[in-house]
Amino acid sequence: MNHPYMGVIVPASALIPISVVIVKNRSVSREIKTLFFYLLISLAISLVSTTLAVNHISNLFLIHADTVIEAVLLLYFFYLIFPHPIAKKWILLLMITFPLFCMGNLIFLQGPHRYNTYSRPVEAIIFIGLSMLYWWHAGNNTNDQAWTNIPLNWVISGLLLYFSSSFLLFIFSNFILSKYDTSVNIVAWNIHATLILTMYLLFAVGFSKCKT
Amino acid sequence: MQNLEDNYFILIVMGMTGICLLVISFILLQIRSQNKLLKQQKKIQEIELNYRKELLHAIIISQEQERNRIGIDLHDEVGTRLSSLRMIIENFAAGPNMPDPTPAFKLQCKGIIDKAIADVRDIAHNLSPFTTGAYGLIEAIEDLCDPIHQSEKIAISLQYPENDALHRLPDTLALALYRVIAELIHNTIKHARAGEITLTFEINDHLLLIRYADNGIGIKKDIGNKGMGMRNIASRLEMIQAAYTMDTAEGGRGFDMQIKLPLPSTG
Repeated sequence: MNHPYMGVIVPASALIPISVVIVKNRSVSREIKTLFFYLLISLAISLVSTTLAVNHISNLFLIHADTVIEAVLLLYFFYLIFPHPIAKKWILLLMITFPLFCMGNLIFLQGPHRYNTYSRPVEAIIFIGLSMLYWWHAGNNTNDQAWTNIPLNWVISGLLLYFSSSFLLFIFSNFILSKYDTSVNIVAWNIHATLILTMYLLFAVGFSKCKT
Repeated sequence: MQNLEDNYFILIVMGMTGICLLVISFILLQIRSQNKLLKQQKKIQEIELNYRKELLHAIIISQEQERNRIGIDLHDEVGTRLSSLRMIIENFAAGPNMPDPTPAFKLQCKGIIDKAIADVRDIAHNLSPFTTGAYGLIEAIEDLCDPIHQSEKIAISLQYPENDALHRLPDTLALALYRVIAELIHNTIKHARAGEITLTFEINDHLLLIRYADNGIGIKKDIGNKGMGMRNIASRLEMIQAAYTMDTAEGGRGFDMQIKLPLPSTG
């Protein structure tokens, strides 16, 4: 194993929020359970991806699949947390159109052996927008709880931090791959792994705030 | 030859760092503003709670004062009359060579009993002015104003519309308004050094508007909220969901209070 940090440690860190959900099983809401499935699937995809990489088989096609699964599950998460019917309608529409767009990108534009630099930034834009919409709603609602005691605040912070910080990397990943050598690429994806780790830790804190 | 091309990788990493910092700042600001809002909410709740505690305190004190007053009235008025009646009955005796004392005795007893009945009626009337039949708010206020008029120290001008709405006020509303007006008159007499009181009732679109004004010395704004009487007024008006404003200007410009009470629909 050449890159244990991004290949093993960070993917395995998904077990932290997963175990928090298992411990708090009785008190977690449906939206948190959706994130639990998202984490389980991410962990499984990372395992397959690392196995392929160890055996020197290209795992780029998995990123295309991961984008679709991740987007659908996270969109469903936002579908559950937004009460407004219009927001729900748009999220449902995105749950149908975004996978179609990803498939179109895979088949007609970028193929399975390149990074999906069209669909991944679009996904990031969607989730940055939805996170902002959540804050907008949270600002309008008068809440009698402290910010830090609301589980969703931590989860949305994690998503916003991850998608907005990785946005440039998603756009330029093919550019970095073609222009720079492997060591630079590894640094770039280690930074990405750190952002994922931060998101998982914020998820874990959020899940731990669920009251029994 | 110097390499003039930028290292795009470094630029991308710097861009990512910048965005990351921006998002962190956004989240921290969000936390700060929400916590600030929460603190403000708690402070407002605390102020409201204290206000309610003070109102409750005022209600309890005024209840005790009222009980005390009733006790004194019963003891001093009715009690004294009954004691004297007992004494008269005890001392009643017919001498052998004296004229029949029964008619005079009867007259004296009847007189004392009548006075005791009048005292009890007065006490009952003070407790609840609306216990006697068709007696309405305006009549009760007129009764309240009569002795003040007679004293010729303060002139009271009472204006009200000639319609049934005021007579049809439910007893709870009428009693609360009566108590508020009685308290205002009491305050004017006791503190305002006023020569004139104006009390106006108007009915406008299912809204009863009451204006109470005097030409006294006015009251300080902070006293307007702290005095026991004013707290009583506030609590009674809150109880009947009436809105009110007070002009507590000093310097001889008097005191002015306006009360707005939505009238219950008659169905």
